Amino acid sequence: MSIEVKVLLFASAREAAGNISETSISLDEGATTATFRRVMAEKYPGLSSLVLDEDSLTLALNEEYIESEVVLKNGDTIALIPPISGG
Amino acid sequence: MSVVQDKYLIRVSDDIPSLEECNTFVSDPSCGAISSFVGITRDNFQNKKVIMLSYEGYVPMAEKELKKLCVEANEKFASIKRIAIVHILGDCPVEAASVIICASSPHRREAMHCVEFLIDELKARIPIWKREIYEDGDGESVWKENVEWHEGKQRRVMVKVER
Repeated sequence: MSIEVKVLLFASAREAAGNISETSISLDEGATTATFRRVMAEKYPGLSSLVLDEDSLTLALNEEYIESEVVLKNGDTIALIPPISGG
Repeated sequence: MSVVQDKYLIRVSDDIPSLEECNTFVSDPSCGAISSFVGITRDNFQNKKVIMLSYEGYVPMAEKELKKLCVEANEKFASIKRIAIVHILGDCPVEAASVIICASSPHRREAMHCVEFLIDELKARIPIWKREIYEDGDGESVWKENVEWHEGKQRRVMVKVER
Protein backbone atom coordinates (compact mmCIF):
# COMPACT_ATOMS: atom_id res chain seq x y z
CA MET A 1 0.00 0.00 0.00
CA SER A 2 1.16 3.49 -0.71
CA ILE A 3 -0.07 6.95 0.12
CA GLU A 4 -0.11 10.10 -1.94
CA VAL A 5 0.78 13.48 -0.42
CA LYS A 6 0.57 16.93 -1.95
CA VAL A 7 3.77 18.98 -1.71
CA LEU A 8 4.02 22.78 -1.78
CA LEU A 9 7.39 24.50 -2.25
CA PHE A 10 8.16 28.13 -1.51
CA ALA A 11 10.93 30.67 -2.09
CA SER A 12 14.44 29.15 -2.00
CA ALA A 13 13.04 25.61 -1.73
CA ARG A 14 10.93 26.12 -4.85
CA GLU A 15 13.93 27.41 -6.78
CA ALA A 16 16.24 24.64 -5.54
CA ALA A 17 13.79 22.05 -6.88
CA GLY A 18 13.87 23.63 -10.34
CA ASN A 19 11.12 26.18 -9.82
CA ILE A 20 8.46 23.63 -8.92
CA SER A 21 5.83 25.16 -6.65
CA GLU A 22 3.49 22.18 -6.37
CA THR A 23 3.77 18.45 -6.90
CA SER A 24 2.61 15.20 -5.37
CA ILE A 25 4.60 12.15 -4.35
CA SER A 26 3.85 8.57 -3.42
CA LEU A 27 5.22 7.17 -0.19
CA ASP A 28 4.95 3.79 1.48
CA GLU A 29 2.22 3.54 4.06
CA GLY A 30 3.65 4.42 7.47
CA ALA A 31 6.09 6.90 5.95
CA THR A 32 7.09 9.72 8.27
CA THR A 33 8.20 13.29 7.68
CA ALA A 34 11.79 11.99 7.86
CA THR A 35 11.02 9.51 5.04
CA PHE A 36 9.44 12.36 3.12
CA ARG A 37 12.61 14.46 3.43
CA ARG A 38 14.75 11.57 2.10
CA VAL A 39 12.42 10.87 -0.83
CA MET A 40 12.33 14.56 -1.79
CA ALA A 41 16.15 14.72 -1.62
CA GLU A 42 16.42 11.76 -4.01
CA LYS A 43 13.80 13.09 -6.39
CA TYR A 44 15.21 16.65 -6.48
CA PRO A 45 19.01 16.55 -6.11
CA GLY A 46 19.21 20.37 -6.15
CA LEU A 47 16.98 20.43 -3.09
CA SER A 48 18.73 17.67 -1.15
CA SER A 49 21.02 19.72 1.12
CA LEU A 50 18.17 22.06 2.06
CA VAL A 51 15.44 19.45 2.54
CA LEU A 52 17.67 17.23 4.69
CA ASP A 53 18.66 20.13 6.96
CA GLU A 54 16.03 20.32 9.70
CA ASP A 55 17.46 23.57 11.06
CA SER A 56 17.09 25.36 7.73
CA LEU A 57 13.91 23.84 6.40
CA THR A 58 10.77 23.51 8.49
CA LEU A 59 7.74 21.53 7.35
CA ALA A 60 4.09 22.48 7.64
CA LEU A 61 1.55 19.67 7.63
CA ASN A 62 -1.95 20.69 6.55
CA GLU A 63 -1.14 24.34 7.27
CA GLU A 64 0.38 23.77 10.74
CA TYR A 65 4.08 23.90 11.61
CA ILE A 66 5.57 20.62 12.75
CA GLU A 67 8.97 20.21 14.36
CA SER A 68 9.05 16.53 15.30
CA GLU A 69 8.69 13.41 13.19
CA VAL A 70 5.10 12.64 12.24
CA VAL A 71 3.50 9.71 10.36
CA LEU A 72 1.91 10.90 7.13
CA LYS A 73 -1.53 10.02 5.85
CA ASN A 74 -2.96 9.74 2.37
CA GLY A 75 -4.13 13.16 1.16
CA ASP A 76 -1.91 15.19 3.51
CA THR A 77 -0.49 18.47 2.27
CA ILE A 78 3.13 19.14 3.21
CA ALA A 79 4.71 22.54 2.65
CA LEU A 80 8.45 23.11 2.57
CA ILE A 81 9.12 26.23 4.61
CA PRO A 82 12.60 27.73 4.26
CA PRO A 83 13.50 30.52 6.74
CA ILE A 84 10.80 33.17 6.45
CA SER A 85 11.33 36.87 5.82
CA GLY A 86 7.99 38.65 5.99
CA GLY A 87 7.61 42.18 7.26
CA MET B 1 -11.78 41.25 2.90
CA SER B 2 -11.21 38.46 5.42
CA VAL B 3 -12.95 39.70 8.52
CA VAL B 4 -13.32 37.54 11.62
CA GLN B 5 -16.40 38.68 13.56
CA ASP B 6 -15.61 42.28 12.57
CA LYS B 7 -12.81 42.25 15.12
CA TYR B 8 -9.85 41.40 12.93
CA LEU B 9 -9.03 42.53 9.41
CA ILE B 10 -6.53 40.08 7.94
CA ARG B 11 -5.22 39.99 4.42
CA VAL B 12 -2.17 38.59 2.62
CA SER B 13 -2.49 39.65 -1.01
CA ASP B 14 -1.07 41.64 -3.90
CA ASP B 15 -3.80 44.17 -3.18
CA ILE B 16 -3.92 45.34 0.44
CA PRO B 17 -6.00 48.05 2.15
CA SER B 18 -4.31 51.42 2.76
CA LEU B 19 -3.21 52.70 6.17
CA GLU B 20 -6.29 54.92 6.15
CA GLU B 21 -8.59 51.97 5.49
CA CYS B 22 -6.91 49.98 8.27
CA ASN B 23 -7.30 52.91 10.68
CA THR B 24 -10.96 53.25 9.74
CA PHE B 25 -11.49 49.53 10.36
CA VAL B 26 -10.07 49.63 13.91
CA SER B 27 -11.60 52.95 14.88
CA ASP B 28 -14.33 52.77 17.54
CA PRO B 29 -16.15 55.36 19.67
CA SER B 30 -14.97 53.60 22.84
CA CYS B 31 -11.32 53.81 21.86
CA GLY B 32 -9.08 56.78 22.59
CA ALA B 33 -6.06 55.26 20.86
CA ILE B 34 -5.13 53.77 17.54
CA SER B 35 -1.55 52.63 17.17
CA SER B 36 -0.19 51.73 13.77
CA PHE B 37 2.98 50.34 12.21
CA VAL B 38 3.85 50.53 8.52
CA GLY B 39 6.78 48.54 7.15
CA ILE B 40 8.13 50.02 3.92
CA THR B 41 10.82 49.05 1.43
CA ARG B 42 14.14 50.73 2.23
CA ASP B 43 16.51 51.63 -0.61
CA ASN B 44 19.67 50.10 0.83
CA PHE B 45 21.16 47.04 2.50
CA GLN B 46 24.84 46.89 3.48
CA ASN B 47 25.92 49.50 0.93
CA LYS B 48 23.90 47.90 -1.84
CA LYS B 49 21.23 49.89 -3.63
CA VAL B 50 17.89 48.09 -3.31
CA ILE B 51 15.35 48.77 -6.04
CA MET B 52 12.52 46.60 -4.74
CA LEU B 53 11.45 43.69 -2.59
CA SER B 54 9.39 40.87 -4.00
CA TYR B 55 7.19 38.88 -1.62
CA GLU B 56 5.78 35.38 -1.85
CA GLY B 57 3.48 33.76 0.69
CA TYR B 58 1.73 30.55 1.65
CA VAL B 59 -1.55 32.46 1.68
CA PRO B 60 -4.05 30.13 3.42
CA MET B 61 -1.55 29.23 6.15
CA ALA B 62 -0.32 32.83 6.53
CA GLU B 63 -3.88 34.09 7.02
CA LYS B 64 -4.64 31.26 9.44
CA GLU B 65 -1.49 32.01 11.47
CA LEU B 66 -2.36 35.72 11.48
CA LYS B 67 -5.80 34.91 12.91
CA LYS B 68 -4.19 32.83 15.67
CA LEU B 69 -1.77 35.66 16.30
CA CYS B 70 -4.60 38.20 16.65
CA VAL B 71 -6.39 35.94 19.15
CA GLU B 72 -3.16 35.60 21.14
CA ALA B 73 -2.59 39.36 21.04
CA ASN B 74 -6.10 39.89 22.35
CA GLU B 75 -5.50 37.47 25.21
CA LYS B 76 -2.29 39.28 26.08
CA PHE B 77 -3.73 42.79 25.70
CA ALA B 78 -7.33 42.41 26.84
CA SER B 79 -8.56 45.93 26.14
CA ILE B 80 -7.76 45.76 22.41
CA LYS B 81 -10.94 46.45 20.46
CA ARG B 82 -9.91 45.68 16.88
CA ILE B 83 -6.83 44.72 14.88
CA ALA B 84 -5.99 45.17 11.21
CA ILE B 85 -2.95 43.24 9.96
CA VAL B 86 -2.23 43.08 6.24
CA HIS B 87 0.81 42.04 4.19
CA ILE B 88 1.59 42.65 0.53
CA LEU B 89 2.58 39.92 -1.95
CA GLY B 90 4.48 40.48 -5.19
CA ASP B 91 6.71 43.43 -5.99
CA CYS B 92 7.04 46.21 -3.44
CA PRO B 93 9.13 49.17 -4.67
CA VAL B 94 11.10 51.55 -2.44
CA GLU B 95 8.85 53.62 -0.14
CA ALA B 96 5.82 51.37 -0.72
CA ALA B 97 4.14 49.66 2.27
CA SER B 98 4.74 45.93 2.65
CA VAL B 99 2.98 45.47 5.98
CA ILE B 100 0.40 47.54 7.86
CA ILE B 101 -0.70 46.82 11.43
CA CYS B 102 -3.26 48.86 13.38
CA ALA B 103 -4.76 48.22 16.82
CA SER B 104 -7.31 50.21 18.81
CA SER B 105 -7.86 50.36 22.57
CA PRO B 106 -9.47 52.71 25.11
CA HIS B 107 -6.03 53.92 26.29
CA ARG B 108 -2.74 54.22 24.43
CA ARG B 109 -0.41 51.72 26.08
CA GLU B 110 -2.19 48.50 25.17
CA ALA B 111 -2.55 49.55 21.53
CA MET B 112 1.14 50.49 21.29
CA HIS B 113 2.41 47.33 22.97
CA CYS B 114 0.02 45.18 20.95
CA VAL B 115 1.33 46.52 17.63
CA GLU B 116 4.94 45.89 18.69
CA PHE B 117 4.04 42.33 19.72
CA LEU B 118 2.24 41.73 16.40
CA ILE B 119 5.09 42.84 14.13
CA ASP B 120 7.68 40.87 16.15
CA GLU B 121 5.56 37.71 15.99
CA LEU B 122 4.72 38.22 12.32
CA LYS B 123 8.42 38.20 11.54
CA ALA B 124 8.91 35.05 13.63
CA ARG B 125 6.18 32.83 12.26
CA ILE B 126 4.05 33.98 9.35
CA PRO B 127 5.03 32.02 6.19
CA ILE B 128 5.96 34.91 3.89
CA TRP B 129 9.28 35.35 2.07
CA LYS B 130 11.00 38.35 0.55
CA ARG B 131 13.57 38.59 -2.15
CA GLU B 132 15.71 41.70 -2.12
CA ILE B 133 16.48 42.93 -5.64
CA TYR B 134 19.56 45.15 -6.13
CA GLU B 135 20.36 47.78 -8.71
CA ASP B 136 23.87 46.50 -9.45
CA GLY B 137 24.58 43.43 -11.53
CA ASP B 138 22.17 41.60 -13.75
CA GLY B 139 19.14 41.63 -11.52
CA GLU B 140 21.10 40.28 -8.57
CA SER B 141 18.79 39.26 -5.73
CA VAL B 142 18.81 37.40 -2.42
CA TRP B 143 16.17 35.58 -0.33
CA LYS B 144 16.20 37.19 3.10
CA GLU B 145 15.92 35.44 6.49
CA ASN B 146 14.40 37.03 9.59
CA VAL B 147 16.45 36.69 12.78
CA GLU B 148 13.09 36.43 14.56
CA TRP B 149 12.39 33.20 12.64
CA HIS B 150 15.50 31.52 14.02
CA GLU B 151 14.90 32.89 17.52
CA GLY B 152 11.21 31.95 17.44
CA LYS B 153 11.53 28.27 16.63
CA GLN B 154 9.95 27.15 19.92
CA ARG B 155 7.09 29.62 19.75
CA ARG B 156 5.82 28.47 16.37
CA VAL B 157 4.55 25.13 17.57
CA MET B 158 1.98 26.14 20.16
CA VAL B 159 -0.16 23.03 19.99
CA LYS B 160 1.12 19.60 19.10
CA VAL B 161 -0.70 18.16 16.08
CA GLU B 162 -2.71 15.11 17.11
CA ARG B 163 -2.38 12.35 14.53
